[in-house]
Amino acid sequence: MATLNTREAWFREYQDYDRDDGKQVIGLEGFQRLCDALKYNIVELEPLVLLWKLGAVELGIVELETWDRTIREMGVADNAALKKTIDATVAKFKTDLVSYGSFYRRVFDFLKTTPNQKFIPVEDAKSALTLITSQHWLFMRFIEFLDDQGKKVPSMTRDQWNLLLELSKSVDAEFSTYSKEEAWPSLFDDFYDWVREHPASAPQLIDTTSLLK
Amino acid sequence: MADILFWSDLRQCLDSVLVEQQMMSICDYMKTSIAVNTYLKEAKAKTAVEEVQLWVVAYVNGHLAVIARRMLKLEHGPPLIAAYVAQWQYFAQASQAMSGCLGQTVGIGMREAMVQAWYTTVFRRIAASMAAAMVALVDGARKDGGVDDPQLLSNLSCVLADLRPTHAPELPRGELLGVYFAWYLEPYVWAAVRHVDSCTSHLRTPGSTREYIRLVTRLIDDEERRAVAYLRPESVESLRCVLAQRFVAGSLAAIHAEAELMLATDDEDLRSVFCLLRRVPADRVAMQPLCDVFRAYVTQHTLAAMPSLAELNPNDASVSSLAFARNAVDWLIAELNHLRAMTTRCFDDDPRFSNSLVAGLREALNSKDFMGSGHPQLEAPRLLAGYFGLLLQTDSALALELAAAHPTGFENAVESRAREALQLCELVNGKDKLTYHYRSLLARRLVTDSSSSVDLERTVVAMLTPLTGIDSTNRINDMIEDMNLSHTLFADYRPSVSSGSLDVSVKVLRENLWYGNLSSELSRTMIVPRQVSAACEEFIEMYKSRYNSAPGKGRKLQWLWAYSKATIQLYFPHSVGRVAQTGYTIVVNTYQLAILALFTDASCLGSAAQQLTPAEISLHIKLRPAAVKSELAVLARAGILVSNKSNDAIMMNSSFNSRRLRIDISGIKRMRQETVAETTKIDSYVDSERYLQIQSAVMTEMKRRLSIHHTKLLNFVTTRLERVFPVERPVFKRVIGVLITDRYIRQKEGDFNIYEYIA
Repeated sequence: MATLNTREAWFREYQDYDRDDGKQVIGLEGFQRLCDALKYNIVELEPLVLLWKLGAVELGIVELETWDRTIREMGVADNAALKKTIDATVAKFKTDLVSYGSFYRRVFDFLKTTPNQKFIPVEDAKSALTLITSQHWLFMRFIEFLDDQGKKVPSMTRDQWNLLLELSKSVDAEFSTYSKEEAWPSLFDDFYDWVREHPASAPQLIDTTSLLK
Repeated sequence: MADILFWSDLRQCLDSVLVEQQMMSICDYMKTSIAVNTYLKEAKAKTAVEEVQLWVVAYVNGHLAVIARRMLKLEHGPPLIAAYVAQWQYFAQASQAMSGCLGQTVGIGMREAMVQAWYTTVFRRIAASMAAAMVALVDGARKDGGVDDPQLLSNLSCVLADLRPTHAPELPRGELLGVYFAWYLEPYVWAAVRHVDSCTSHLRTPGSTREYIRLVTRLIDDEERRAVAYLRPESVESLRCVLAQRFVAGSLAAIHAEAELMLATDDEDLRSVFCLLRRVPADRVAMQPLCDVFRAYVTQHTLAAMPSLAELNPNDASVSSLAFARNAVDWLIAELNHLRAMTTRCFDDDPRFSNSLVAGLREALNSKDFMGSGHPQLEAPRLLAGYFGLLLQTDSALALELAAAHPTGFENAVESRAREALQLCELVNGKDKLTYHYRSLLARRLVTDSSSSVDLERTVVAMLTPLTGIDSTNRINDMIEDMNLSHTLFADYRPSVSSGSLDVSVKVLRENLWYGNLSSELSRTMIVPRQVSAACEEFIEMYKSRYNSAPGKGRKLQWLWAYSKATIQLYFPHSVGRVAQTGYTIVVNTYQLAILALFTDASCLGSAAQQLTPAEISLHIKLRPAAVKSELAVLARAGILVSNKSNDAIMMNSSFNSRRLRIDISGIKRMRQETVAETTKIDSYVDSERYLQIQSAVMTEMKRRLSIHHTKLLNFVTTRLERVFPVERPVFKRVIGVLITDRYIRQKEGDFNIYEYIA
């Protein structure tokens, strides 16, 4: 177990600057260095999981306060232990859907460019979904749908983002359990119509149970 | 041994009593009486009395059965009745004698028991046999096509009455009915069923349904008519039910399918189907599919029958639907009347079919395929508003026709037409859209002074109010009142001599009432001719002196040049004859006036210009080049201005010549109609208003309930707004999405169908 001083010293290794509000943070560059140290490719899933585990609410920004708390909670003292924890967390996503749901919802915040932003650009959403859902069939169909819609769907709200995960848990490949009478966003109603008009080819109908491969 | 002897003796005694032609002597009576009494005294038991009673009744029944069998061999009718009466008379005496000799020992009631035995054993058999004979008679007439005898049923009653023994107690009603139901009605009904069945069995094949319907209708009608003669009145309904159940309810699917084909072609057969289905007991099940078929027919027929209007190109921005409004609405009214007449003719104005008609027409009017075009100006609310516009516009072809046809009752004629159109308005879902378009066209009528009369305007608005709600027509009434007020306040206004010879008429309207209906952006800024600006300034001074007492406060006047016009007198140098002196009277809009002033009024540029390029004109009057170009084109088309092709300059056409002395090129009349762009703008305005109304309804309910299920909330909002417009689910969901994003509400953790209000 790392002491307070050790944790702070560890933080200082990657700290970039003091923010305008006086808070000490690891910025994008520092986070990149941390990922390099952990041997994570920045465009893969693990860095996002790392950010989530470190309590970040913005992409690539980790405050000292949350660093200290989360490192203490994880009970790790060095990069090797941290990497082990992150890898274990990713491995556990397959079975721990509650934990995955929490991570999934946080990713929406990582995709925002300003804290008060209510929408995320659809292109960013598509990239993130590809990355974090391990190409689960429903998300892939949804991305296909978004591609087909073009500029008609320029962005996604948090509500749509969160409910997409619920949708993936509650429908089968034919959407036979989907009902427009329920409170799904109208975007999903359009998605449902689109799925009906564009039946999936056989390879897309695999893996309807596990969230991640 | 003694018992056997006793019964044997008793039988011997009674035989001698009952067998005809062997009347008992007093000694026989005594002997029988003593024998019975002796036996009973020896038995000394109550049961013995009952035993004797039962034995005697059984004995009499056996005796009467023989008599009945013998009578049934006789011819039905007078011989049978005569035999019956004779038998009864003898039996009556015999039973009286028997009860006399047995009465002391076997107790009272012996005679009644014997009469009952007569009814049971003789009367019923004879009556049943006669009833069956009559059923056979009727059936024979039915099959041979013989003439029905309406006396037959009464004859049956008479015969049954004749069978009643003269001295017998009154024949119980139940006895007669029992015979009727058991031996007459049922065989009669089944004879009818068998007859209809045999006549129609060859038609129960695909392709023969129409013939089947016709024949079954005729046969059931015949049977009903026959039943009135041969059955008791209360039994006719039973026969009707049995026949309908058997021959209509059993073939419903085929009949409904055939009715669908008949709808387009054959009214008479359709009526037969309706009459047939109406016979089926609890006809809701039988009738509902026909109602559905009729409803679908109304929708499809209405949508399919507008080919000429469907040819419009949705992308053609120059189209104005007013020309089509009259045709379309007249056609729809005629269609409505035609369908109503059909409902009367085929369905006897049955409310279920009237409702189907309304539902079918509503579906057609609100369909995206209405008019077969996606053109925004061909939506039903826009067309109906346009129709009202034509009715109320003083110089429309429709109004002129009505005025010519009804020189003294023009207003009544307009009201009558408006009432017809209102029937269609009731069916339009987007009554808010109808109101917006109505308001837009009303504004144009009022501003361009082309309304038939204020009273008529008020009347039609009053007619619309129950449909669209008082809130929406209040603003229309306010606009009419505002225009009236303007007329009243400024009717007597005349500019002073300083404004020259201008005769100015100004309307002052409240912007908040007319906003959205009179497009202020159409009125571009520009430098108006000096005389006009002087008149405007003078008017503003007068207005301020009357209404804006405090400096820097009060109302601000904004000139809407797009809706202004001027009548000017133009003289051309090369004009000859009378025109050289009188000149031409030209009606121009303010932009055209400003352009012409550059060439004709020396005060504009220091001297009247000979030639100006469009760019120079634009610069001088500060009007956008595009607008200058458009007005120059109008002036050039009229021949008033010509362009010098060498340098692109514009000049007055000194050799202008026209047979008409008064020419209107202002284009103000065009303002009476909406352009496609304006229609589209109104539509998007309506959409945004609807969005806000849904949002308001959602928040009202969320604040009240704090937590509510999605479906309940949707139902609440739909019900609350259904009078104004139909709430579409996607729009409702979009509203919800925005409210969630803006954190006014949220979806419950674990159940996204529950919304929670965030205080």
